[in-house]
Amino acid sequence: MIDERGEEMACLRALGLLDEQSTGEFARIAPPGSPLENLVRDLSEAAAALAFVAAVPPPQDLRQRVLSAAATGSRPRQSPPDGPRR
Amino acid sequence: MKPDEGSLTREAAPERDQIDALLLTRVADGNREAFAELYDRFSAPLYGAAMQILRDAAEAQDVVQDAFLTLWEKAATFESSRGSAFSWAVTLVRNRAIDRVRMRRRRSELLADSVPEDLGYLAGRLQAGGDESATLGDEARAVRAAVAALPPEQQRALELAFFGGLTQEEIARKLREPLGTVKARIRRGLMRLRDSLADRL
Repeated sequence: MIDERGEEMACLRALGLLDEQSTGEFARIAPPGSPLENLVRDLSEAAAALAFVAAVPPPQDLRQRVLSAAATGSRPRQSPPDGPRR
Repeated sequence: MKPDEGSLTREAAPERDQIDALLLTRVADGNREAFAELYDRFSAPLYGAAMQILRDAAEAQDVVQDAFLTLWEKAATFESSRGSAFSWAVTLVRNRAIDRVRMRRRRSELLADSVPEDLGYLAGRLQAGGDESATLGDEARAVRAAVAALPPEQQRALELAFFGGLTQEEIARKLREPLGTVKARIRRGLMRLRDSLADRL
């Protein structure tokens, strides 16, 4: 059972609004696989969906710029870098 | 494999996320067609979010390009158990855009210059964006409807939290509300949005 305080911290975490101290506290109460961590994942998806509210097609030339930059760059890295994924 | 235009209108969320994850797997193998397809699927919401945060088209394009190149370079690190590919992409764009906003703010030391002045942007977008959302597919329509169903004060709190690049305290100052009230609005709004979009997330 997640109480309101847990929900509040999960929401702030999902939006990247927890300060350093609260982030440490949250890590202690939301270990991997915990209901609270699962809630953060769900809320992060809901927060990401907010991007659709602002969605607008980008300028046409951006597509070519992005694809060209990838084509002229190196191949994707095959081994994960150190540190968190995001 | 390549969905045609408007494919989001026909994909249930789990299927959409699976396709995105599969595309990212192919991107990790250096598949440029998959990368182009991912661009077509993600670029409108990513660019829109960057524009809303930065209010500058050139900077928004830079941020979106940088985020896509990060997806290209780090696709192999993606773990679907930690969230969707789309959520990852949004995080990349949002973090980069907010970093730029905070850099501007540090330079100017004038908070009001770099936060959205027209609170209620979401409400305006929700009222006026009918035709636009039609071209963007069911996903945009569903999210806009879910946000429109929130009480205005929860919409505003989420708007500043997601697009404003502000801390909790800065949001409270901007709204002239106690910090506890702001936290409660963010919690209620995001929890309700999660519930409204449950079959799509």
